[in-house]
Amino acid sequence: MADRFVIAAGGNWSAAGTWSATDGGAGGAGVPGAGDNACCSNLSGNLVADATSGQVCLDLDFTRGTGYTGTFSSTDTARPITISGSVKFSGGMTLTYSSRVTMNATSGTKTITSNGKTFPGGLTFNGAGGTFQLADNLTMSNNSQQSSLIQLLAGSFDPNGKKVTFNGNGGAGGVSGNAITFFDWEVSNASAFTTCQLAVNVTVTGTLKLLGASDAGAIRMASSVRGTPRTLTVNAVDAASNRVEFMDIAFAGAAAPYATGARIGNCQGNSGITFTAAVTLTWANDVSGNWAIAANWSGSRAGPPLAQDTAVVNKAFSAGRTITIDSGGTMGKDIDLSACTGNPNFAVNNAMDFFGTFKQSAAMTNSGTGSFIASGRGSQTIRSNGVTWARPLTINGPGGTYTLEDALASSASLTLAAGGFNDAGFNVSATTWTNTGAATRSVVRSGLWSLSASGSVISVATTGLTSTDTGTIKLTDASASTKTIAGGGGTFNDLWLSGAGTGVYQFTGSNVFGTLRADASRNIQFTAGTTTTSNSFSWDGCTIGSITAASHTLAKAGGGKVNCSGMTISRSTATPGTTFFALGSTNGGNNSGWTFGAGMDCSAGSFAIAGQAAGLSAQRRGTLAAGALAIAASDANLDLVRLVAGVRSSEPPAPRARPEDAARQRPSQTSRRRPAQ
Amino acid sequence: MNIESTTLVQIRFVVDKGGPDEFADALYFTPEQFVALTPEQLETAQIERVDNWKAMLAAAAAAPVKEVTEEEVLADIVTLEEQRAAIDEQLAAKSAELAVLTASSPTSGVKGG
Repeated sequence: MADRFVIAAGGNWSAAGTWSATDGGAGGAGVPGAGDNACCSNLSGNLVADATSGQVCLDLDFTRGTGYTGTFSSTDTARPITISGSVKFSGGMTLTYSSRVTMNATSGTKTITSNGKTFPGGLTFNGAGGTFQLADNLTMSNNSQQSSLIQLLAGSFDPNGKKVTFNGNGGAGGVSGNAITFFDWEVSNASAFTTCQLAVNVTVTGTLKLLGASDAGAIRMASSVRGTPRTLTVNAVDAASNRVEFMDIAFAGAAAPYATGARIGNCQGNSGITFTAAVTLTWANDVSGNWAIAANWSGSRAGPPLAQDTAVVNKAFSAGRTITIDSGGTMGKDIDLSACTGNPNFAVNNAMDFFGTFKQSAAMTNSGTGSFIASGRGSQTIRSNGVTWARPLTINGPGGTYTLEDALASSASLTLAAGGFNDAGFNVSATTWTNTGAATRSVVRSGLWSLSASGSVISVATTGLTSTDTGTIKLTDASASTKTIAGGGGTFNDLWLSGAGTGVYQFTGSNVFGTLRADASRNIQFTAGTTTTSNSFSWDGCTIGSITAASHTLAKAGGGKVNCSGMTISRSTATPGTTFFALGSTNGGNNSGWTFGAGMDCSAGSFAIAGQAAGLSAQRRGTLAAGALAIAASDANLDLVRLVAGVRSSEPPAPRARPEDAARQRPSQTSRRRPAQ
Repeated sequence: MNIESTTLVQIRFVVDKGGPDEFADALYFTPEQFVALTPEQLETAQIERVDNWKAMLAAAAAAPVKEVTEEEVLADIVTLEEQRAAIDEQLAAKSAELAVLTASSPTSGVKGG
């Protein structure tokens, strides 16, 4: 074991020249090893943790000499240090290190001495058999950069009667690893809405203080997994606690039920908490303003809305009004904007939860840089009233289901992270569809979904997912960019590759489709080694291949044939045999199971004369029946198939149905709904 | 017509049904609005919805590739952290479940998208 001192000029941790064998000595002693103490004294310069790995020491000691007065920083938040001994900060130092310190002693008691310094990094305890003890109060501040401020992986954490404070400003730092016990624990913030995520159960044997700085800067105590409660067992609650909301927290212990403070928000999934009574709050005046400012709301209790409140905006606004929604994290439970007029703009500039229904007004717009998080549990609805959602919409309410009340048009992304989404047969448009995570999710799709983006336009994780799909997904991007369909091995009804342009459509996963169709000239690639199964492959004039230089498989389900023309096909294995026919197509090589040069299979009597060939779309069947039936019946050969193709291509487009039909049937198209509240 | 004042009337309509650009949407009216509605006004409202929809799709198709903002990246990171925690938790639960199982039985799930 040796001491390594940072030299007077300071330097990077990873540089041998930064370290001296003596306090105030020359550099070049080499970087500390796991058995060496990394030391800073009043004679040391600034130290920068610059390495992404390999920064180790025994003790990390800033108290040598008369105490370090320099700055200890890190290049960024990914410059971890592993310490086998203890940590001592100096009261006179500047501490901006924002990465993670791991203490890994496997025996004895190692201490953390803050000397009043706030630690902006994360702490991990990972030494089976070791005890990690606070020598004084510990304050941590880096919620926005370290997702786990304290992580107990192995060993014991001994609060030693000291107080732990999480005083971040934004972000979602918290506690993870194994269940942990604090003595006094404070979670507060400087100003911005801050989440404290509990990945484990927490016990507070002393006093818990939860204090948001303002209405706009509340504290959210939340489970790290929505829908999976964490238990917070508390002996006592500080009377100054206020402006806190809970999500999936089971509050227990002598202090239960939690009931301290005038503003206690219910973000669902909680127990053991007495929440502030829910009220309806109404936007008070014809003014622009911030959602989180109390003065903008009127009702039986002061605003802004808590997570259990109904927020109503029903003003007749003057032109140019903007309501900014950018702080507080929570918009409320039921959000009813349906009766406002004057085209106010709702600018959403942060990720904002709502925990119930959402109704837009036909006379409004939305904009911003944030997103809408539909976090309700139980049955919820979304009514767009013809207004485009300009910001991403994420369904993330475990146990909840969001059902559309009308068409949903979004110029941003649509994501399902937890809960259910039911389009109720209405159209949906968005840039991308992401069905993500492992939470229990359900999708009911029966309408037409139009997805306009390139890149990862469909991304589906099937773990935890159930789907009832009778609808259609239509990809419309017309750029030269690649479109990725990551189906995750899922089952879809109808996927339509429609967007013009040279961009390749790339499939990943062995997915199943009711119909997989593409407009002419689309370039379609499948992941080598995958099997794409469909009842109907409907494409002509397209290019089929693999993403890499190996074969994919296309499997026809449900019997019948696959007939296509003008294709260029390579690295494609078609199954079952004598099922895939490519008329007038190019064999690009490395194919099997395809029949090139031949057209539709007429020999088996399954040709589309009867309009029932399973391999043909409804539109194509109709064309054949109208134009080719008599000819084909008299002379079913390959040339006639070409003729049929010509008839189809020259057919005029179907006339557009007008809404008069709907209007005439109005009585049968009406239903009663509960009113806007 | 006797409609309670606490109800709304939903007019659900479909255009180009079965066609390539099928559009299904709904309009909502108070009973008073609904009673006063003429067929022409209703048609106008429906056509406006259809036209707005098509205009939105056209605008989306013509829109340049969007630059990702720092806020969006940070929000994505938070989401991913949540998802990672969820997956870690499920992995731990499944590992524990596997450890106590003496025999496994095949299961099948309904997947989709």
